[in-house]
Amino acid sequence: MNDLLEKIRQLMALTLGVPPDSITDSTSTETLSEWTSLQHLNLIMAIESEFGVFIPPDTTLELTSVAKIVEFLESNPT
Amino acid sequence: MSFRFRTHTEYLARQRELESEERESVDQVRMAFLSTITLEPLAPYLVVELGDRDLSAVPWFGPFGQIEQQCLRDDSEFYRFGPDVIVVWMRLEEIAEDLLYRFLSLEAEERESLATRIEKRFRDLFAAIRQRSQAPVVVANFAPPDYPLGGFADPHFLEASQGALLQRLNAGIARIASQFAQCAILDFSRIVAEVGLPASYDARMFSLSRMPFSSPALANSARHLARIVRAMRVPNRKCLALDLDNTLWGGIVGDDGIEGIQLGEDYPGNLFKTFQKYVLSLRDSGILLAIVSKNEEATALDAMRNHPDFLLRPDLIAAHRINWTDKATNLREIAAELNIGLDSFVFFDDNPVERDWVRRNCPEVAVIEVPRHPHQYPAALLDSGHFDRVFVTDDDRKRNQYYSDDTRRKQHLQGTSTLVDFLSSLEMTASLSEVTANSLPRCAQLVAKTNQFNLTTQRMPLAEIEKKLSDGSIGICLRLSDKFGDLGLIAFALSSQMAEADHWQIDIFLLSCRAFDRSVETALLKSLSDRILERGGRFLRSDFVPTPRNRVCARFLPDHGFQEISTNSWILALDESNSLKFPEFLTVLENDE
Repeated sequence: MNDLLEKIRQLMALTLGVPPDSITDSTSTETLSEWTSLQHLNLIMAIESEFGVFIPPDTTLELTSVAKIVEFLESNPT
Repeated sequence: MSFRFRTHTEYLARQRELESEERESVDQVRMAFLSTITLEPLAPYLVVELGDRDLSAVPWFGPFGQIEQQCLRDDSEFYRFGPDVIVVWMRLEEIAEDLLYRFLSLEAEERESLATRIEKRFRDLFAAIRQRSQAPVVVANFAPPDYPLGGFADPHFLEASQGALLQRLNAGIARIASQFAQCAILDFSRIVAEVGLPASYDARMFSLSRMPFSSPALANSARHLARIVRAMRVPNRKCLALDLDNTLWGGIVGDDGIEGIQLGEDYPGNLFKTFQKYVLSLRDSGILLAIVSKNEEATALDAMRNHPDFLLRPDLIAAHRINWTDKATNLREIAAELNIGLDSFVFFDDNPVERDWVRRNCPEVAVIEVPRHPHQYPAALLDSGHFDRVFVTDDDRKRNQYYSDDTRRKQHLQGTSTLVDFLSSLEMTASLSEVTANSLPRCAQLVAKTNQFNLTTQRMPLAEIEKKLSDGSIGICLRLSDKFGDLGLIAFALSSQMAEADHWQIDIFLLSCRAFDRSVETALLKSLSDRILERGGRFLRSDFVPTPRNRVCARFLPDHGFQEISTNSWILALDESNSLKFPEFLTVLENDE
């Protein structure tokens, strides 16, 4: 779990261009202004490319917080 | 090897790396996108692909679907961004969806009127942009449909097929683009062909955000754009210098003999023959070929002349050095012989030691990293981008003819006694005329790449020259021919009126190295000064801007009567009695278009 969270923090920092420290498991589109709807696409593509998963359209819209991304990746391992 | 792209995350990581590097000397390119789709996710791909080519991309994306809205307002966000390159990206899905989805229901006239409407939209758009910006425009053409409505029968409809109509539209866009200055095509139909149609799209992303492309399609689009932008901004290379053994044939001719080398219709000789075909195609496009090989000259030339499958015969080669001298020295000699700079050379040699030697000793030469297996040679050569160009002029395609004519000229020189005798015996004709739409692209090309005989070395883009001409500047070009052949358009001068109305200044004055030592520059200056006199000018001013490369014209101004008024700033009083004359050995045709 901690490993996964750390990987996601790194990936989000890379995608959104923010320091990894600014991302915690409670970060969401509501709390991080850099996490815009366009950057969300970028993030979805990055998660797919990094974890080798496919994210269905509905899920794409739902993954709006770090906690939800972690939960999705835990239940859909590569 | 060429179509391996980084993954999305690798592009992001590289983008961050590039952003954190200090890259002050890197050429920054502000790229404005106008599109019918969401293109923002292209940004990291663009930054990285331009970064790979030592360019720095600064992209701006207009709101999707707002193309005319941005183009038709002088003060739109788009013009205020101040683009260096404008990319227009419209898809049939958004601008004429009936051609994609209702094609089978359309009558011939309806298809025709849709096609005409699309062409008109492009033409109006380019005209609107050109009224407000001189930046180069790159316009995407149309991809083939994912699913042709006629299915497997589509090709049987011949001229009425959906595929055929799309090709016709793409030809139309290209034709319209060629009617505007600095307007190039982003060949999107080719971009998706290279990636593969089904692999190019992401229907999920499109439905969520109007961003239709997969990661590989974004990567390949960015790569095409980066190559186009680079070709627009970096002077292109003129000469490909090739090794022989294990490069143009397999084996070592000195050891294996002409019968023993691998070259022919079967493996592995066919790999080398195929590579030669690609090399020959570069020559057809105007690239000079040179051979630099460590060999006994007689043995190697024998193979080049007489091997039945050797395609790059000696008469197709502009210069060769086949000896045991080091290759850096040989390349320098060839550069001097062809009168081009080392920075015009690309070097292709299978031997990593030779490549390293050339890299160290001739850093101006572009050295291609040659792959181990010869089936990868063509991709390594052509994907290097060193010979990319966006606009090809007729002069490019004739370049090799000029150089082989030149070899005969040099032989002829040996039979005459003085230089004036020689020049007279060449029976030269110079055609001088004001620059027109036909000659402008070639003039702009000379401005972009002439380093030696160039008084000001001012790299003025085509659009700016065009603007100056329409504002009253005088542009003269000179075409030269002699008894050995046509040298083409080889000299260009641009002069503008200064604040003091009877003072004119030389903005640009240049001569292609192909026509050195023939006094044609005197003819160009004479013609320019005559025209300035006619327009009421009495003084001609010029700067000489010295560069490491243009020493050849350092004496040009004083030799033609100019007086130095301050360092490198010169003036010539023009009057009917001034000493400028056309050289007597030159037949001059004025205003000959």
